Amino acid sequence: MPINNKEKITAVDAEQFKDMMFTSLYWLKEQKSFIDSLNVFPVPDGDTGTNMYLTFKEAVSSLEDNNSGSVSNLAAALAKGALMGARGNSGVILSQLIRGFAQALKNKKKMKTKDLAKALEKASEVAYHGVLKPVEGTILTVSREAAEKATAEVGSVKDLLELFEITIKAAEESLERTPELLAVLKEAEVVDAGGQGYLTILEGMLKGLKGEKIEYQAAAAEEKTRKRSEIAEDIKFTYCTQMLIEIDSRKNKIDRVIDKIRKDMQSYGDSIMVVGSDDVIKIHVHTNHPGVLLEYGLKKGKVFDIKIDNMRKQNQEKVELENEADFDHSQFHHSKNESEADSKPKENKDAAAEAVTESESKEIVPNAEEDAEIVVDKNIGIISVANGEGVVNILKELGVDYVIKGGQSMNPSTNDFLEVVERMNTEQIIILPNNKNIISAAKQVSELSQKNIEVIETRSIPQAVTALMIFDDQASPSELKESMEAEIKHVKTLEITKAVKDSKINGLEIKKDNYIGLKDGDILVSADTEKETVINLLKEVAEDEELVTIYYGEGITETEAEEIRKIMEENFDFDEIEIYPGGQPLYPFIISLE
Amino acid sequence: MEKELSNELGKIIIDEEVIAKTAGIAVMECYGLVGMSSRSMQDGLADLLGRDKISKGVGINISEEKVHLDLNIIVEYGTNIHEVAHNVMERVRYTLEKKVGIEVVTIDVNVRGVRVGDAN
Repeated sequence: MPINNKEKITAVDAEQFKDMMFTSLYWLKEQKSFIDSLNVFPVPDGDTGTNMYLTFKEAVSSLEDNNSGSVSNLAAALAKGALMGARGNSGVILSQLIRGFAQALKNKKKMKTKDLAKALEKASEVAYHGVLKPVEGTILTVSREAAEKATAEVGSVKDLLELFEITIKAAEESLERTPELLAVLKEAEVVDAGGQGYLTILEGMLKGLKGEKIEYQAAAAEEKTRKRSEIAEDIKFTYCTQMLIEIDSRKNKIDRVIDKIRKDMQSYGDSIMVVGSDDVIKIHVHTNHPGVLLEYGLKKGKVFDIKIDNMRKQNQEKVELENEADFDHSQFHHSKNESEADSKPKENKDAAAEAVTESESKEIVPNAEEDAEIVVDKNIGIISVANGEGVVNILKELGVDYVIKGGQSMNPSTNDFLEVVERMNTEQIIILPNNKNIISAAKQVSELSQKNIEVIETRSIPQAVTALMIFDDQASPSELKESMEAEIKHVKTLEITKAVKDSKINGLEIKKDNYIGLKDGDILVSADTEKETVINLLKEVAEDEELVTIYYGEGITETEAEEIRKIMEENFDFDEIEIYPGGQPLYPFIISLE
Repeated sequence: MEKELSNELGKIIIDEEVIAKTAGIAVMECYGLVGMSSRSMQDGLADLLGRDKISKGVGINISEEKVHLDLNIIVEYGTNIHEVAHNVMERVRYTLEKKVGIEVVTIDVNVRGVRVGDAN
C-alpha cells in the first residue's frame, strides 16, 4: 500500500501514544450511533457503540493525568481504566483486548512495529481466553484476523503507519465476512457491531498517529444548518419514522412489549412515542437510520402503515415558504390524527391509542362493519386476497365472493380468513391467497374450520385470474385445487416494484429506490425506470407466450400503461396485450404471460 | 415443577430441565464466563462442568407462574465481574423470552469461582 507521508514513524513514544488513544476515542464517539444501529447480537438492544465508547472513554480518561514517559505505564493505566469502566458485553471484550494489548507492551518505553504486532496478537489471545465458547463472526474474529495479518506482515513493513494500514484493511475484510459466520447478522444484513467498533478504534489510532484531528460532527452539521432557520439546528435526527406493528398479544403482554420497545428506541433516536392497544403498537421515532428501525419492527411482528419523512427537507421547504419562528414539531406530520397524538406527552396513552385504534379499524379489519352472512349463490364459495380497487373488481367479476384486503407487507391473519369463512353460507370454500406469505395463514383455516376448505396456492394476482378462469362450480374443492394448481403453472407472473433498500441479490447490485423486476417472486432485473425494468424483464423471460395482461398500479396513468404496451408491441411478438387498471399499491405493474 | 403456557387450543408445558438447559447454553456464550459450577457444591471447590452437565449449574424455581433462576458461574480473571454477571442476566433473560417464550422474573447470579487463565 502506498504511503503518502514522507515521514516514517518507526516508534511511538508516550506522548504520541496518548494522542493516538484520545483521537481514537473521539473517532469512536463520532461513530457510536452508527455502531449502535448495527447491534443485533447477542442481544439486539442497540447499545454496542455506546457501551464500547463508555468503556473506552473510561480507559482513555485514566491517561489524562498520567504523565508517565513510557508506553508501558500508559497501556497499563488504559487496561485498568477499561476494566473498571467495562460496560456491556462488547465493553467487557474490549477491556480484555486492551488488557492483552497492555500485557504485550510491558516494559516497553516506546512502541515499535513488532511491538504493535505482538500487542494486537496478545490482545486477541487474551480476549479469546475470556469465553468458554467463542462465537465467530464477532469482534473476536475481527481482532484475531487483524492480528494474524499484522504478525504476518510485520517483517516487511517499513513503519507503523504501514502496519496500521495493513491491519485496518485486514480488519475491514474480516468485518465484511462476519455475516457469513453469524446467521443473525446475515438475517439483519449488518456486519457485527462489536467488530465495527474495534475497527473504528484501530482507525482512530491511525488517525492519531497521522496527527489528524477529529472534528466533531456537530461542527459540520452546524455549517449546514447555519444558513437555514435557527430551528433546523434542532433536527439531530433526519427521518421521522412511524409504523404500526401487529404483535401476537396472546404470546406477549402488551405493556411489557411497549416498555421494552420504548427502552430499545432510546438508542435509535429521539422524539420517541410508543403506544399500543390490543395487538397493535404504534412507534414514532426521529432517527437517522429508518431502515434499521423497520428491521427492528419486523422482529416484533407484522409491520404496516410505514411512514418515513425527511424532516430536514420538509423543514427546508417550510422555511422557504414562511419564516415561522415557533416551529412546532407537529408540522412535520400531515394527518390530524398523528399530530394530535404526537403533541401529547408520551404517557398520554388514551389519545394516542385512539389514533392507533382508528387506523387499526381502517387497515386490519377493513370490512369490520358487518358480521352479516355472506351470501354465496354457488356451491363453492371463493375467498381471495388483494389490494387495489381495480384488482379487487377484476377478482369479483371472475367469481370471487369475498376479497380480503391485503397482500405484500400487509398479510391478513388466519383469524381474518376464519371470520370470513364462518360468515359464508356455503360448506365448500376455496381460498386463493395470492401471496406466498399468506398461504400458510390460509392453510391453517382449513384445519380450524369445520367446513370443507381447500387453499389454491396462488402466489400472485395473475395466477388467481388464471385459476378462476377454469373454475367449475360442480367440481369438489379438492378437484378444483388439483386442476387450478396445474393450470397456474402455465402462467408467468412478472412484478415491478421499488427496492426499499440497497442490496445484492442474484448478482445484481440494487440501490434503494431502483425499480426491480421479479418473475414468480425471484428478482431478475433492476433498472432506474419502470419502463426499462419491464423491457429488461421481458427480454429475460419471454419465450413463446401469446397473451400478455398488464395490471397497472396506484400512481400509474392509463397513458403510461399504453406506452408500455406500445413498447411491447414494437419489441416483442405477442398475439394479444390487455391492460387493466389494477390500482394495487407498491407494484406499478403486475404482468402475466400465458 | 414445570412452566405452563396456554392458548385457546391447549396447554404448553415446559419442563424445568428445558429451561435450565436453554439458560445454560445461553450462559455458555456469554463473554467473560468460563464455566458453570454445580449448585450442589458446598465446599467452595468449584468444578468446571462439561457441556452435557451445564444445566446442573442452573437452579430453577417455578412457583405460581413466576420463574426464578439461580446461575452458578465461574468467570475469567481480569474481567469486570460485576459487568459480566450483568451481561449474563441480560443474555439469559433475552434468550428465554425469545427461544422459549417465557418471562423470567428474577435471575440471581452466583459467581462461584474465578479462573486465572493460561494466557496471563
